Amino acid sequence: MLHLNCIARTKLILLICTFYANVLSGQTAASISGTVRSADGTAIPGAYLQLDQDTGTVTDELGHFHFSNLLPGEYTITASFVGFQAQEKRFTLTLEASAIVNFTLIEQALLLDEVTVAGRSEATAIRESAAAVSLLETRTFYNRSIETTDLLNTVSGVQVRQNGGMGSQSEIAIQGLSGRQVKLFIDGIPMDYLLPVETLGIGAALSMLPVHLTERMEVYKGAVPVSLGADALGGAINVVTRKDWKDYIEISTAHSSFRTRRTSLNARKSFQSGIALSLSAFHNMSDNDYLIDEVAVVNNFGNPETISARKFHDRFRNYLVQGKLQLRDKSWVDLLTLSCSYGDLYDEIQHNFEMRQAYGQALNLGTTYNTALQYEKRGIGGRLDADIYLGYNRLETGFIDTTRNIYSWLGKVIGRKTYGGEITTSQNHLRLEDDNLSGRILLRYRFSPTSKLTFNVVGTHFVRSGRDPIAAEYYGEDYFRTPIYINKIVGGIGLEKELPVPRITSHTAIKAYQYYLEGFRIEEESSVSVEQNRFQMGFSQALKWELSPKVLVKAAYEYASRLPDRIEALGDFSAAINSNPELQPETSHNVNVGTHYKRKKWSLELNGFYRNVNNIIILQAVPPPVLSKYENLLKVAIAGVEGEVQWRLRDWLKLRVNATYQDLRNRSEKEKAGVSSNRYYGARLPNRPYLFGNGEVQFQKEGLLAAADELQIWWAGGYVASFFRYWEIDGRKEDKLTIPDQWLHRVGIAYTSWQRRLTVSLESQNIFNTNAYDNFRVQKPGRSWHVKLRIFITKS
Amino acid sequence: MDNTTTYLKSRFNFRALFAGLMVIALLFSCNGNDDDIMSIDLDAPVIQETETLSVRGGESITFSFSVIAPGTIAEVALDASAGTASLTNEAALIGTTSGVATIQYATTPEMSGPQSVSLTVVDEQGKTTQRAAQIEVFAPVSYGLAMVSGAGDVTTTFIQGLIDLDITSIDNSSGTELGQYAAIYSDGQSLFTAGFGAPATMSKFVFNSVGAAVLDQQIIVPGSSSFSAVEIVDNQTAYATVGGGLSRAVVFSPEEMRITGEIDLTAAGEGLFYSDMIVRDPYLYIALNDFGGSGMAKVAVVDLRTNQLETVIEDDRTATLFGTLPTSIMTIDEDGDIYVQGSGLFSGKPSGILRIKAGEQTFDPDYFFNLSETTGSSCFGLYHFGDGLTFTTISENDDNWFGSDGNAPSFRYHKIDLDARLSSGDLDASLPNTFAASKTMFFLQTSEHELLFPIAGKDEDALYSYDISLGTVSKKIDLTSGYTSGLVPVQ
Repeated sequence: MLHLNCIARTKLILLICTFYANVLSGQTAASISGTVRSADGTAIPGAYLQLDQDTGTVTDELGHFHFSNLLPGEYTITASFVGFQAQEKRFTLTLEASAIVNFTLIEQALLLDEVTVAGRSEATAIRESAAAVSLLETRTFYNRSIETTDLLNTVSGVQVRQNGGMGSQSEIAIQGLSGRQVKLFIDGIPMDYLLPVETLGIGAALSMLPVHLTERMEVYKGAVPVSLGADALGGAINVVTRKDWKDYIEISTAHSSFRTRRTSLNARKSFQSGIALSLSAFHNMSDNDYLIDEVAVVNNFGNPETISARKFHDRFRNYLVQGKLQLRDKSWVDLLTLSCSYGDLYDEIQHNFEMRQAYGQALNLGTTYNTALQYEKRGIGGRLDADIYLGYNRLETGFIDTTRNIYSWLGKVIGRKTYGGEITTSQNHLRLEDDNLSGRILLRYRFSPTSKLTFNVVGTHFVRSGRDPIAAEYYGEDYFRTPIYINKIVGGIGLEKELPVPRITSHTAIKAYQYYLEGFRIEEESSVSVEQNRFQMGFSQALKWELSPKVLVKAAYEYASRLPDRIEALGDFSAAINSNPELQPETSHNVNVGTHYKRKKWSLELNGFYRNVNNIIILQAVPPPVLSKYENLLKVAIAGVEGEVQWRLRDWLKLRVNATYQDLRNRSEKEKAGVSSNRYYGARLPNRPYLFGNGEVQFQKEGLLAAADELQIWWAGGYVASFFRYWEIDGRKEDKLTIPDQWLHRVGIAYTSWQRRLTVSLESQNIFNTNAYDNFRVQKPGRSWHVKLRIFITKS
Repeated sequence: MDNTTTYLKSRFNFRALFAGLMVIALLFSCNGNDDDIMSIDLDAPVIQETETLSVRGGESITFSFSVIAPGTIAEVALDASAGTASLTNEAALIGTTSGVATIQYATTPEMSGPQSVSLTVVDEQGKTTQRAAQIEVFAPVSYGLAMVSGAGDVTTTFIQGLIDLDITSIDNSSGTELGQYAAIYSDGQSLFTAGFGAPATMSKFVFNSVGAAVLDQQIIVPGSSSFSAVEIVDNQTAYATVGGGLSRAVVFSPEEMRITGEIDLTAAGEGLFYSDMIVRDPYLYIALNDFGGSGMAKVAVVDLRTNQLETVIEDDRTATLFGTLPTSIMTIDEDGDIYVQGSGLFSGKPSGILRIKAGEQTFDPDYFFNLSETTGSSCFGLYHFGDGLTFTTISENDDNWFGSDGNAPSFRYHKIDLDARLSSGDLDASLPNTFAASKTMFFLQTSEHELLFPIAGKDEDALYSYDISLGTVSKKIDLTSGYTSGLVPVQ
């Protein structure tokens, strides 16, 4: 299991040497650390610390900060936070000293929207880390009626392809890699442990994480931090959930076109004892009954007639209730969180892959129960931070496909099948129950002022069982009752080292992945046990060079791996996919180079990326009932550039524009491409966008009608250049099937009043009612209108 | 002066006047044919244009212009943008005041697309008139070819017309993209596609003048996942079975592309795949595939006089009548005997061939050709061309029957003797292995002496030729953009 070949062993030795070289260099500098708290003793996360004129940082979630690699001398440090009076302290540092400076800030009379500013500061710290990362703060969007998937789509280098409206099938791509190659996390925990990503898709799963429950989205492109413990091949997205430290209550409701409603309640109450209670709840629903063009109804002679029709079976409902009990600032713990949540989802399926066949009754169901205990303690022995997570999650999903009715696009029953459901040959009333026990230990150790070691290990034990009495009648046996087990451990160790000259920070990491799968395959109508055991390693090296206070240069390399997942390795009987225990992990050499130029009013970010991906796991489909199988096929090279400009033209006017160009080329010899010649070597990969971008203009003005009001007006647009459905080099050029150019615009206005407590917003999405497509023939919603009311009350 | 101006302003709306003048000027400028108007010579010969005509490349067409001249016609000249045009009655026109110019226009096979022929007439006064006729010269497409192209999991089918088969190599640069895996069929005139993907859709394509396949009409059966077998009898009658939940065959007119009837196959059983069909008047025989579930070979017999299922015949000597869209597993010989090939997959039964004798509606109990025993392998596909010419493919590795290992095609073409129930061995030892069951396998007789069949191999995709008289095999056409899922004759 742990056999390493010679090359891997050499690489490992080199990496370890790099580690020690990093660790042993320069340990003579001094450091400053401390905590920022309010007058009532509450830690203030996101407070800004300015050290003299040229160095700054922000406090973490527990109010801690740390400056390292300092020379002896006199320093002035200033702590500030919006809503509080800034405080300044002067002190002298001696050689190899570690000073502790604590601040207690006094609140200002008028409480401003402090949380927004806190996010911004923390965002800057992440953005300026060694990682190739884009960051999107979501608080700005609380007033808007935007889905999490739509918001992700505005990040440079990120492409979200959707099949429809709320809760629809979606696929996320980062710099050309997509689907399972991109991993999603919620607060550092892999999302598929918490939400039904695998069974219901990322679109439905992300709908259980609406924007107002999040604080920011960190999009790691290329090297994924050690703290995110998963086998991501092409980057990762970490959704950081909302952490408010003040008592508050927030209610919002939005009414939109296509009978779409979003209602939410968030509240938090803290007590002197250090205990805090918080509650989050939301309910989303949509009929998604938007008009689609160019669907066919069939006349009495079987000939199609093209019509426009409203979707009639695409309703989506979900709700989630989450409670948290927190204990803070005890000698043995900084923050202890016990959280429980319950969520439910109902998702109708309107059509097949290319929107050619209408369905009238098939649907997905999902229920989640999450319980987690998280322990956080900083400064153990003065140097060690610990973050320990233990969670038990239960996901119950259902797939109902029992009717034999045949529906037309007008929603009418036009016939009956003699057997089978709308989608499957067997008919299904499938219930799957996933029990997942997961744990994470994240340790950060500062063994010198300039060096920090991060150790992270995530372990999971997954069990799935199910039942489908209807399919069992067809197959003669209920194969779904056979349990599936997955044990997975992902470990990583990373060293962050600030080199003394010339202001270069290095981050070196080694990761190891181990998993064991046990399931079944169907042979001669019998279920045969199948297992797979895999071990894989990965490593990364990232460098950050602060060329000047205005210019930051980054470079990163990662050898990334993605292990075959459950469906790929063990198959999915409901989808007629057989197991393939021989599958090899996907691997990729990821290189990112970028620069960030920052001025007072504007900033520019430019990034180049290269991926060399091998052993891509692809479904080799054969017509059912013969079972298809995943195979390692294709080798792909991806090169691209992306850039973003942010410009604050005035205090009240902001502009953001980004664009991405990516070139995905097949680098497979014929043996790995499933063809008999090298015709496709070097050809551009089909069905992948290559040019896309986003823009946003936001007008934000305070005190227009009253002292504490605010008017917000925004325009946001997205563009995706037309791309081919199939290989560009094939066929007559004049009539190739394409996914057409897509220009989508949204505009909105929001007015906040009543001491900033009440916000009313009006928004129109796809305002020019463009026929929009992310996937071939699958039309997205036309123009929609959204009205939203949000009330946010906090203790002043 | 001021008073005058005021008076004029009160009497005339200058803006309206100016606007009017501009409109008139615009109208004149837009009438771009004023040169023609000005140059009309009422004394010049008049030529009545003929209608737009079409002709198949390599063939000739005769058409006419009407010529009227006030004076007598002194000279007539012809010019063709391509091909050869000649006047068949020039002598009869000279010296007359009116007549019909009959033009013989000969094309070449290479010509295609819009062409023109112009007629120039000069009268005795030296006045000249010229008129042109637009002629659509259609590429003389004789075959329709389907090529499945693409790599990884993104593949699709391209269809194109071929003037003849005297080529050594072809790619898909002239192919029309279908957006699905499809096999092709023909009624002798047009090309029909049936492919995977719900709802079952059959498309009729015609070839335009430059030889590109253009969609003409479709037939859709909602609720079904695909057409599974197609049998075209003539341009008025065809049958197609559907898969994925509908126990049904549809009767349709290929010419009108309309469904004209249905055959209910519910009584044959649920969950069956209809893998091939063959017509032996007045019955339609449909191979039923239950993937070995029953351990028997089953064939539905439909009375075409009533379009009713008459019976289902069964035989347990082989099983699993597995067929694919491009591949036949049923054939009929000179005596009218039908042969049905079972793969035996998933059933523990051998691959074998059963017979339904002419005039019978049951499997012949005295005939069973045990292919597994005779060839030592499981088999797929059955084609018979009379005089002992019968072909199948044999699998060298049953684990890769469906081609999941894309680098190890396992099927070899094999010759068998239906009467003697013997193997005649490899069709040719030099032939590479092919993905018969997962990609393509068929035979097409293109002449009295030649059969064509495809190879979808590890290192090549090609059409090979079998010389009937010599019994030899040679490569006919390299397919450089993918393997072929069908080759059919069209007009």
